[in-house]
Amino acid sequence: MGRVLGEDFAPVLASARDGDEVSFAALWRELQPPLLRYLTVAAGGAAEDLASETWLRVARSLGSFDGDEHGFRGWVFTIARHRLLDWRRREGRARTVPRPVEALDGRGGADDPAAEAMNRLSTDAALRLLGRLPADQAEVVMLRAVAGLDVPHVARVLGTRPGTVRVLAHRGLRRLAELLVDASEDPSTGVVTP
Amino acid sequence: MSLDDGLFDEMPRRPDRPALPPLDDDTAARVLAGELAPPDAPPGYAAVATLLAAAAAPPRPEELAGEGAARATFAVARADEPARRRRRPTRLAVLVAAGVLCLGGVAAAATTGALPGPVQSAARDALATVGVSVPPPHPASSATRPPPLRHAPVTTTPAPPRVTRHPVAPHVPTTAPHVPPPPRTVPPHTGAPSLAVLLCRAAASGRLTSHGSPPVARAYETLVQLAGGAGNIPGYCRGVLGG
Repeated sequence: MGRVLGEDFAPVLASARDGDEVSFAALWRELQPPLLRYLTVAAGGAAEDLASETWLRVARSLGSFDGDEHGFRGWVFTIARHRLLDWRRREGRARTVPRPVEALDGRGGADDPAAEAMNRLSTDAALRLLGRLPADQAEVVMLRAVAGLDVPHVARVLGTRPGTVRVLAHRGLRRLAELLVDASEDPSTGVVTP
Repeated sequence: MSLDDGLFDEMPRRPDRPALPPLDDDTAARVLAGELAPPDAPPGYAAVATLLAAAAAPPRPEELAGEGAARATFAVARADEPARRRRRPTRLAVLVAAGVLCLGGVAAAATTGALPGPVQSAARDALATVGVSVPPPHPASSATRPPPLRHAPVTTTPAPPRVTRHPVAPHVPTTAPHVPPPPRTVPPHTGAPSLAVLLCRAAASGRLTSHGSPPVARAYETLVQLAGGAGNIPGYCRGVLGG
């Protein structure tokens, strides 16, 4: 989900700030899919509502933002994370059960069962798997890989230090690799039993 | 059994698992950025690269389905801006935006004509403002049992004849012609009614009028339709908010 506005970003942002609905929609189209995916991993079925709350805040605060496209991304995701934290407080829990997604068919080819299974992985199933990571690792991986934010921006969104972001990213990747290896070890059922 | 059933629950770490090679920062960054195709990923990380590619796949249509509602939210939020500077922040924009978003929930039912007539009419007009095309209400849908609903389980009790707008009902008791129609009974309880509650609260705050900015006026018109006439709004909203 790369940035497609590029050099168009500045004029689009300017006219959105002037109240142009079409320009706002261009920004929305750019960021809504990664935003929804990030929130789905972090908050399951509450993702749509949280995204709507996020955009309402963005719409009302657009005049206060000043920066480039990368900064805009970070700003929107920061607002989203505040919505997420509020939601977690309301819910009284740090995690939620991810929304149901289609089952993942684990029967893959013989050479590299894990990679073969992953080739058939839908976006929904991938998000569900990412939702099984510890919350802080999942957020970092989503913000880096799906939102496309660099380490300093992720650190700002999460209110932490860049070093912490790097550590969490390493842990998240390693945990994913381990989980996927486990998934491939019993291709007949796709489930590892001790 | 599917692959991910119970897969990531706490499992004992297998003692025979070979340790994964450590990733250096640069390689980790390239995996996260999707710059390494699975075959080029370090040993043990090919599946991770594939998984992240699926997570970052191009947008799907359903992820962009809310654009109309988002644009309406933006319009209302901006229209509300001067009022916010004048006085304490109003919740009108939140209320109306939430109402517009609630309409998203009934949009699926509305676009298939599955809502009862009055609700269908209101949904049609409101959704038209956000660029969603909705068929007009079925001619008989307010006088007969509505079709099954999935998104807005509106009561299936037929409306009392006196509130129907359709003059074809054969057994309408005659009332004095100058008496305005009584307010509609409090309507059903998900989807559209939550919109009704939001609109009634906005109306009670005094800021939802026909003289507002276009988005506000559209919201007002929606409330008029839900109530069955502007004169019915007070009674309708008493029922909606008080009941």
